[in-house]
Amino acid sequence: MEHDDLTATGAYVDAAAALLKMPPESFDRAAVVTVIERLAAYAADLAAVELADEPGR
Amino acid sequence: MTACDMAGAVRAGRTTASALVEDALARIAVQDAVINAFTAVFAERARETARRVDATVAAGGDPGPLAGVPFAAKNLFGVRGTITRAGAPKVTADDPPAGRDAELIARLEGAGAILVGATNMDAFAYGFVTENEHDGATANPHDPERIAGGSSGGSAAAVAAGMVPLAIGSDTNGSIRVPAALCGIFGIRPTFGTLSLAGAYPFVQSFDTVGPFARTAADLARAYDVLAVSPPQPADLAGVRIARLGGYFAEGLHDVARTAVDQVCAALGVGATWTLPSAFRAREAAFVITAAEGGERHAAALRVRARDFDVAIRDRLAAGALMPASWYVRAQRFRPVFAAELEAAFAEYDVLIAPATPYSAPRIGQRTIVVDGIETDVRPNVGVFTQPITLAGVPVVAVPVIAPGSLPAGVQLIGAAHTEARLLALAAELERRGVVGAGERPVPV
Repeated sequence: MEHDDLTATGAYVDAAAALLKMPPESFDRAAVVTVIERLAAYAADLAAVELADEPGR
Repeated sequence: MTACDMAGAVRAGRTTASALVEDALARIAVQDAVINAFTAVFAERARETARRVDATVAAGGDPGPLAGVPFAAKNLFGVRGTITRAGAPKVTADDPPAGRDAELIARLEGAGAILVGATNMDAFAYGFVTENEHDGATANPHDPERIAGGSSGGSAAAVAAGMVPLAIGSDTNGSIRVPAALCGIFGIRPTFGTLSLAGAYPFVQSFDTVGPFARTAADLARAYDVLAVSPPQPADLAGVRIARLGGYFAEGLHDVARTAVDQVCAALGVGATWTLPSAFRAREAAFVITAAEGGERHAAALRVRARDFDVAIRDRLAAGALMPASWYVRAQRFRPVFAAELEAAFAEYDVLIAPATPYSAPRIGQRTIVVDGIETDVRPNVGVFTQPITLAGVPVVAVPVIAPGSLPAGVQLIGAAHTEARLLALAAELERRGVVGAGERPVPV
């Protein structure tokens, strides 16, 4: 499943609820998604440079 | 009195370790009611250790280069017979007590220093503010309504306030450099892998380092020499080549931070500017690796006792534990790209200068701050200038600049791997010229 699908379906919130063993309404769902979105954006940016700039290529 | 002065006085018999320990305990009793730097005070242990140091002096033995110097340790360092708190007392409550002292504590005490207490921190070292849900916020000695910075905020505040002349902390993404800057003292993040992590509660295996704080460059160097397995040789500053980092490191900061860098560069006659094109991506990679390794480390505990975690870190750890492995791999794969950029910089220059934080200490509880007209979150952005350097694992000495009437700002002196001696010598030279320094203790007993 692609990242966009996960966030669009709320799968990350469900996964966090399963990890934390807490119902979604009892933790900061927006915070989890915000962090995931930031990590996804950073990872996408890093993927854009790795092949061109990696030493040895 | 500096740590070097204390040790000299004890070694010469002009004072005793016991007297220095009692003085430190008295200062803590008065000042920590306001500062909240300590989460534990080991008074009886300290008195016993002091008696041994004094007995060594009385017998004509060598008590060590830090004889009788009281020090504090961030509460992620193991202390024999106590549970290692790691800023998360509810999560670590069932851990067994440490069987021995952490290696850094043992090395300091082996040199005659005396552990007097453990200090406050962000939970599991995941933060830059030392606003701990269970242990409270540590106040900045320069303004108790403001943060000390983090995650080693208790150690930095204890030194800045003069409760102890030395303390140790950890620096994963800036947790020594940030509180040293905001509290107006010296701190060193050593080359990755140089100082022993034995007995220190881990956070991010790829980045974790440990190191000392002090109020003077000489004290910092003395402590570093004791902590290093192979103490660095004295460095010669003749011909040292220095550049100021531009680009990413010259944007998004308040005047107090920019002026601090200006003053250091002016004093050193630095005219050159160097740009690290991938600095922003280096921060991105550090952010991703931190989230992944931190999340993985605590995932098992999150599954069984999530409600015991500080809410400031629980959601970030959960997100990190859930992220795809490919994101982590991309971040790790980027590391040699940034390392090559730094290698090119160090082919031209020996020391790079950058701000340690983008602004002076925000208020306790402050969530956002305006920089260049844009409102940004305080918590993740205090470390915006320390986090990229983390990725390369090179050493950094944070030096304090305190302008009259202003809160402290810090400047990073960044060197190639294993050039700690040069950075410490440069810090001492800047202090000698009066450009940097901790100044007077802000909260006298």
